[in-house]
Amino acid sequence: MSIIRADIYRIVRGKGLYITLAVFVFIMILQVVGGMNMNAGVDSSALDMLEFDFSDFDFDDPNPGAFDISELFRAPTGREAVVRAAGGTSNIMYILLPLVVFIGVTDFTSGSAKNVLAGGVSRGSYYFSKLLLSCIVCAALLIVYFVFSTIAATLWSGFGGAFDGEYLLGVAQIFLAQLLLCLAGACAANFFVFLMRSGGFTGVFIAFLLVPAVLILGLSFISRRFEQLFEYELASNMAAAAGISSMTFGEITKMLLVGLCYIVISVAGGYAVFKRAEIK
Amino acid sequence: MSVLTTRNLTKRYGKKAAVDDVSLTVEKGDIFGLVGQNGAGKTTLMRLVTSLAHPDAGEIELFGKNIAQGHNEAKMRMGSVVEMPALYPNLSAEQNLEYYRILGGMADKGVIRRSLELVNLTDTGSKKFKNFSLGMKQRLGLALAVMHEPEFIILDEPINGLDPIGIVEMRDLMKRLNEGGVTLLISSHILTELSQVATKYAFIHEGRLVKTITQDELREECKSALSVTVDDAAKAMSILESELQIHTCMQVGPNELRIYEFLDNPSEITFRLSQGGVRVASMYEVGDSLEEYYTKIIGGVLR
Repeated sequence: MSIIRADIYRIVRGKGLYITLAVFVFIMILQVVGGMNMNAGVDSSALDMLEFDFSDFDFDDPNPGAFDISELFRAPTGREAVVRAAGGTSNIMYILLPLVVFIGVTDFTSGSAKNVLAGGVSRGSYYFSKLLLSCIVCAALLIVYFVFSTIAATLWSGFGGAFDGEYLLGVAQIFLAQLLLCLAGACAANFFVFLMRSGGFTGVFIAFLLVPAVLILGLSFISRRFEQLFEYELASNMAAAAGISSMTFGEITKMLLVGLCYIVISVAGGYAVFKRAEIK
Repeated sequence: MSVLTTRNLTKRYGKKAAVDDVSLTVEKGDIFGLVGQNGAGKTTLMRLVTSLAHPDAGEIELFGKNIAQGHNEAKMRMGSVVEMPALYPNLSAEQNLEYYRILGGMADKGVIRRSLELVNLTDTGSKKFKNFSLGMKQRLGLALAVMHEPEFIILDEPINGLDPIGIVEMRDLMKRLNEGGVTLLISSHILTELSQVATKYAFIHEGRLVKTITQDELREECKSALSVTVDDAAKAMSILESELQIHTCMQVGPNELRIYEFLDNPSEITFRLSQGGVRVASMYEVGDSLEEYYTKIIGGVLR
């Protein structure tokens, strides 16, 4: 625990946390005020564009009816904010996980990891402390993302309904599913941190997040059969979890198992690599 | 009592052995100097002892505990600065030490001030570590190494980047720590400095331990001649030859002689010269410096 306490002391004195929070607040303001679904990266939602049949759309119709474009940009109420925010949580992958990466990788780029390890802290304690810290940061920022969105949307458009058990249950389902997937992302990020232990690693990690989604999207243009690969991609699962209430039990189970597999493989792999690694 | 023992320690990088079958013992109270060229294996040896790298063969015992079997409590009794001092670049000296104070579970906040005072680094304020000079970084690294009052400190090239005053201060600090009961393992390229603090030396060449020697043994081995300044060099040489049968004597200056015998009985020389009417202005022992001795040893290895 003392490693985590010390790291929290260090993180709150760095700029990274505050820059990330500022970016977060900016995105949330855009979502709440502009009613925009801010997605920083590529996920399976991009495929929705493929499914829209523009031939049915009458561009001359002054009253588009079901396709009300203004509805798309309507600011959400507080009650709707979590679902809207959750739909954009692939942002977590593209914005928060680099923060997690920087928290871990700074120890290696500055060389300070060797002070800790030479001073009698075991590699296991060190690895799992850093992992736990990453998870704590991820969870905290996910909470901030949800809570801040709800508060901001409520202040802007009102809550828009009852703050009841049904609402809380819905929020809890989305939060827990996304938390698991977010932690899977944090574990994967840590795996790369402990595997490469270098500053240039961040680009590789971002590529790790972005390339599969872009690749799957590209393949889906060739054949829709490849769409199924999105089920194994974290950012898409994060976006899909926003609609957990409309998912089947099988779909939910599969989504959570994918997250768990990411966690188990990356935690075990990261530790195995770090245990024998040379610390520069 | 042995603080550090290595037995047949070997570390290879590819086909090259960076540390090759090294067995040495650092006793409590030693200031143990590791001497060797760049790439000789000094830093690798220190990295193995501090568990930053894993040996391919051999054992390391720290305070009698084999560190391959865990024993992190033994490592906690050690402080180290291996390679460059490495701290968080965006934190100040005080914040960096505070980080390690929290991490080490030290309740006493006063350790930070005391450590900074010890290395004369109390006036850096909010200046970040990344803006420190190399000398300041060395001092802060040492402050970190001593903060938890270790019994054994490993310092890799501790006077690198220090100015002349900093070197003197560092030397005094190492002596003070040693007088306080701390055992030190130091590597340095600046052998004249090392020779002023070390009580024992290990000479390493191409990963192999060539020789281990104490300061007293080194002094004895380096002792090679008596330098004698007299008022009449020619008369003095004649007296030495006739009275003491000294044949290995040479004149090296107008009034200076170099005598290669009677090293263990210099008073006899003074007595005979005075008796013969030659005034001796000075007499002292001259010998190889650590650098010369090192060159001789390594030269022998190279041959």
